[in-house]
Amino acid sequence: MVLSIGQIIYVILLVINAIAILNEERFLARIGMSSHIEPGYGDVTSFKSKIINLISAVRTLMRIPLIVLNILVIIYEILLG
Amino acid sequence: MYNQNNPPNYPYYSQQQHSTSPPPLQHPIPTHPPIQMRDPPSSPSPPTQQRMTHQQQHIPHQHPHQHPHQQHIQQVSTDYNMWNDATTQMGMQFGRSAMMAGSEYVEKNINRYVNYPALKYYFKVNNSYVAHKIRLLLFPWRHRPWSRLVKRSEQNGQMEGYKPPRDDINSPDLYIPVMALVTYVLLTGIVAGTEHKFHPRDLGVNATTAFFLMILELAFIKGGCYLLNITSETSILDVLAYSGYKFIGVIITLLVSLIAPFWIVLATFIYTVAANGFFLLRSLKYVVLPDTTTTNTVNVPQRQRRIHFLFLVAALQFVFMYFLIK
Repeated sequence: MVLSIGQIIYVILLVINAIAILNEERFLARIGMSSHIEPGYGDVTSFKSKIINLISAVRTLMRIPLIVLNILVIIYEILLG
Repeated sequence: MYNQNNPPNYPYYSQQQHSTSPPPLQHPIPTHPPIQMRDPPSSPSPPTQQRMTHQQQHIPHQHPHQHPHQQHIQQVSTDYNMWNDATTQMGMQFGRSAMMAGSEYVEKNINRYVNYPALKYYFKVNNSYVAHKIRLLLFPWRHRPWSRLVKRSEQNGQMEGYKPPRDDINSPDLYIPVMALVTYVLLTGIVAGTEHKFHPRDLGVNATTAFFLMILELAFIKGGCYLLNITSETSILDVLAYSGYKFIGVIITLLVSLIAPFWIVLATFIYTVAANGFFLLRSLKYVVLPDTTTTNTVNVPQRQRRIHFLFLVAALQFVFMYFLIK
């Protein structure tokens, strides 16, 4: 198993991309993981609400940094990859 | 040229040493500082030539009136010494202040990003702790108890934290994981060398892989703690230490693989994985299931899920150690 630090960074970036790309209305609401369906329904500490919380946090927080990072990686890959 | 000109001077020196006066020209460096200073640093050979001619000019001069010249030389040398001392002092002072500023800067920036005292806690080890801990990592079956000793303050008996590793064998440390990680990287080089396919690049690759696996396990445990709503005060460094202990088993397996046939290596691997998994199962219990006797907030299905998570962490050791040995 050969891993370099650059590949580790790529893996992390792609995983965060995959979380951030999940669509709220088309995908998450359909499988019952939308963040604004259950305000007060169920306890906040359950497994599912934690995942919902994590996904919405990533989607809100990482949107702008992800755009910049993806552009940087794409330029790097086109020029030097 | 220097070698050719020097031997004729030696008799002169020896004669002079027979006389009462001390030899003035035995140390050629202090006598000619101005010339050295004035020399243009264009090429290395002209200065030596000039110095040689200067010396040769001095030698016939010196014999008739020795005392004034010697005084002059002494004066020059003392001047040079003083100049030398002053510059040395200045340089030393400057260097010291620069170094202090540099170290202060580094310390300030390290303290900003790294919690230094918290990191120091994990390196408070001694010889007997390390020996006992390694024995515990390899033979964890009969050990008891597994709870960490709590450090209490002397005034009111309040809990202040845990005792450092040298007082408590159940405390996690970072000394063994760091040393084991370095040993593991070097050992993979040796193992590759015995198979005649060593390349220096492999050391870096193995180090990165081991590092990545530790990060992955850390992320897994911390993510699981987040998802299972486990709010214990265990720091990231605790989890990092526990995930680093598996290198001991990996090192043992690699050492065995140097000398033993395949089935013994396989047996060693299975044994070390089982020992490490058992160790983690018992040690991480206080991380995953903190104080189940006092707090009743954890309901039964959640506790069940946490125990499953604990077993999953222990079982994942097999995967991680397999990747490390491969």
